[in-house]
Order: sequence, then C-alpha cells, then structure tokens
Amino acid sequence: MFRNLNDIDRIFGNMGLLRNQMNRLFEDFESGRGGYPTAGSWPKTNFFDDGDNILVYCEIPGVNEDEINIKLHNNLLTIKGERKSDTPEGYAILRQERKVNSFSRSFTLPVEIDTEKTSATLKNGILTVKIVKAQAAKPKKIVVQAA
Amino acid sequence: MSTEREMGKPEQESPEVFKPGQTTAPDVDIFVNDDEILLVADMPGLAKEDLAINLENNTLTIEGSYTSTFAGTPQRKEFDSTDYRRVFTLPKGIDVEKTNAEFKQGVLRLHLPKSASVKPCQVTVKGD
Repeated sequence: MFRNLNDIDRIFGNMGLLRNQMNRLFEDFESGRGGYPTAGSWPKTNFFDDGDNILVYCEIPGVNEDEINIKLHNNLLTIKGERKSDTPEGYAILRQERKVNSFSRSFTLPVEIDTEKTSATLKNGILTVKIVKAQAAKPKKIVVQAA
Repeated sequence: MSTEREMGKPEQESPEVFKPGQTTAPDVDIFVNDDEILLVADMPGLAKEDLAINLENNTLTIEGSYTSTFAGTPQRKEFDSTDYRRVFTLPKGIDVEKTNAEFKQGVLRLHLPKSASVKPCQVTVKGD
C-alpha cells in the first residue's frame, strides 16, 4: 500500500493542511459577525460577564423604548419587541431589506440572579440589559493565610 | 517519520490570518414617490456625530464607524464594532441642495427630493 516513506510523508502533509483549514474554520466562528451558529436570529445579541453582572447587548435599530418588553422568570430572559413598519404612505417600494417587524429571543442564564436589580437602557439602537448576579454567584476572593 | 513532528508542532507553521476590518453594508429600504426618493438604513450603535453622508455627482455614500463599549468578558458575541459603508448610484434629477436626513435610534432616513424638471406633470389636451 505505502510504496515508500515519501507516500506516508505526503499523507501527513495533507493532514496538516486539513488541520490548518479546521483551525481557520474556528477562527471564523469566533470572529463574531457572520460565523456564529445563531447569527441568523434577530436581534443580534451579545452576552458579557463583568464578574458582578451579566450584560446583554441587543442590536435593535428603530425600536422605541415603549415597544420593548423584557421579562425575567427564574433564569429565563426573554426580550420581545415590535418594530413598527415605517413604510410611508403613497410610496412605491424599490428595495426592502429591513424586514423584521416583531421579534422575540429567549436565553437561559447560567447563574443565579437578583431579579429585582435588573435595569435596561437604549441608546443609538442598542439595548443594554444589566442583570445583577445573586450574591452567591458573584466571584469571591479567598485570602490564603499562613498556617 | 512525521507523525510526532506533526503532532508536536505548535502553531508556528499555520500561517497568520489577517482579520479583515469589519465592514458592514447596512440594510436599506428604498421608497419612491413623485416628489422624492426616501432611503432608510439600519445602522445600530452609530452615533449621529459619526455618520457621514456624502453626495458627489451621482454617487451617494453613507458611512460611519461604530465602536462598541462592551464591559466584561464575552460569553457570546454576535456583533461587534464595525464600519458601516454603502454606496449608491443615484438617478439623474436629484435636487442635491434640498436633500435632508434624520437619524434616530440607529435608523437613518434620507430624503432625496427630485428636481422640478423630472417630476411628472399632467398635460392637458385641448380639443374642439
């Protein structure tokens, strides 16, 4: 099957190539825009953790404060809303790429949270939800003492 | 034999990948009536000051740079800082002087009025 060592070497060379391609595949995934498995969902949502809080960022251009509905039930966060159609009266449509009118996304939060302290702000079409972690879920520094 | 060499070899061999700057073409709606062309574009995150609209000859460019201000470590990331940019070729007969724009909650509404010469007008037919 393997005529000489060269053949074997070539096979491993190809494997290296494959590995490189796989590596790049994951880089695409990590690069945010484009590669994420849920990238097709609307609105695009980011989750950040700064230790004491979970910060949720949502891209919702053209949605007003009163059209957003955020619900927290146990560990389930639901962001719902409606973007009113802004197709003006008496105009012909030449192009329509901005499609979504109502949206809803739900996420299970990985930690215990303090539901009461949640707050949200909206700026330039980006919604920021600040969820405060329950005391038990916050990171705690442990001091090592000399015995 | 090459197995060990391949397995043990760290990253150095894989070529470095240049991450292209994130450029996003904003989603747009374009509407038209007898008086104007109305362009609506989604540019979430962008502040009004960072938006540039440029009209030159028949070319309309809308662009702006959004820099994210996320705090903490990312757990899930579906969007990030980006440069918005999109270029359109306009039909003739746009009254550039009267062009105006509104920008609210990341949505741009750009009104491009048609000049009087290209507006449709009714011709009355006289007969006996």
